[in-house]
Amino acid sequence: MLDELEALYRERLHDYARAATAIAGDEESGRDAVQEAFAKAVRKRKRFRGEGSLEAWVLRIVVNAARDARRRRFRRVELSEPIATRAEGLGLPLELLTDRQREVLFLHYYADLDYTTIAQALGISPGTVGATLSAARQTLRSALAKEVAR
Amino acid sequence: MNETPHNDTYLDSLLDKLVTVEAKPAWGDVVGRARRAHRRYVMAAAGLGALVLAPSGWAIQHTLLSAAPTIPAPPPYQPGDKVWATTPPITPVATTIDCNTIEDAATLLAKLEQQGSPINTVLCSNATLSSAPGLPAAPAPYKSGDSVTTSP
Repeated sequence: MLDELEALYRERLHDYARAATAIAGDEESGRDAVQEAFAKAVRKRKRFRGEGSLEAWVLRIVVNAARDARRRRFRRVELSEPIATRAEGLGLPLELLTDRQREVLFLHYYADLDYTTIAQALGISPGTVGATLSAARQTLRSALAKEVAR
Repeated sequence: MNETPHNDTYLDSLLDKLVTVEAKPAWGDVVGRARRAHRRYVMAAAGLGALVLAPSGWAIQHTLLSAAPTIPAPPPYQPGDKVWATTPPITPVATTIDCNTIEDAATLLAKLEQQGSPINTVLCSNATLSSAPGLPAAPAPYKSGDSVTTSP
């Protein structure tokens, strides 16, 4: 089990770090969330029952760690969020998305995960993942088109 | 495909630019964090356990110590002590005596309480000297609170 976790870590670190960074709001928090999440997975590996994939189980911990990092940032009243600032600079209106839409979009795009794994990680159905992703993309496309038309 | 705001390619290119994180594998750090977290958990559990168990442990110790034999009295007093320990509960054998009314103890200006238990053919008694309310402290060699045990 430990070997499998290490293999998953080495194979997917980059993708997970990108997704966690997007959710947490900055690179340092994102990287730290991934390290903390894998440490937690190592510690609690005996609790993995094999009901879903190991990747989905670990990803759930990563997402929770990234969410916690984001909440800590808000508690510290750090208003500047590097990812939000960069999105604004790129003209990408992420603020139009709900938290769930952002998470599904980030996991699908950065971690390149299928609907089933995202669904297991977020505790929702694959159909909801598809609908949420579609709605998120539609919202962003519409906003970007309006921006260009201006 | 052309990158226009109306298609996913353009959106994907923006998402690609949004997060450019470099993450170097550090599995040793992961294992170290897991160990530290486990140690913190163990210490917290031990602390919590101590908090929960300390009062009951104290109570057990107190009970054991209470049941343990006390320090023996000096040899001359031991026969009496042994008898005293096996006697029925102490009962007053004399009412409180106002020393002022007793000729020999009149100068004490104190009260004498005598208690005792009948032991076979003898009486084991305990006398306690205390200042009466409003009276000054008893002079030496006896003072308020002194207790004398006799076992004839």
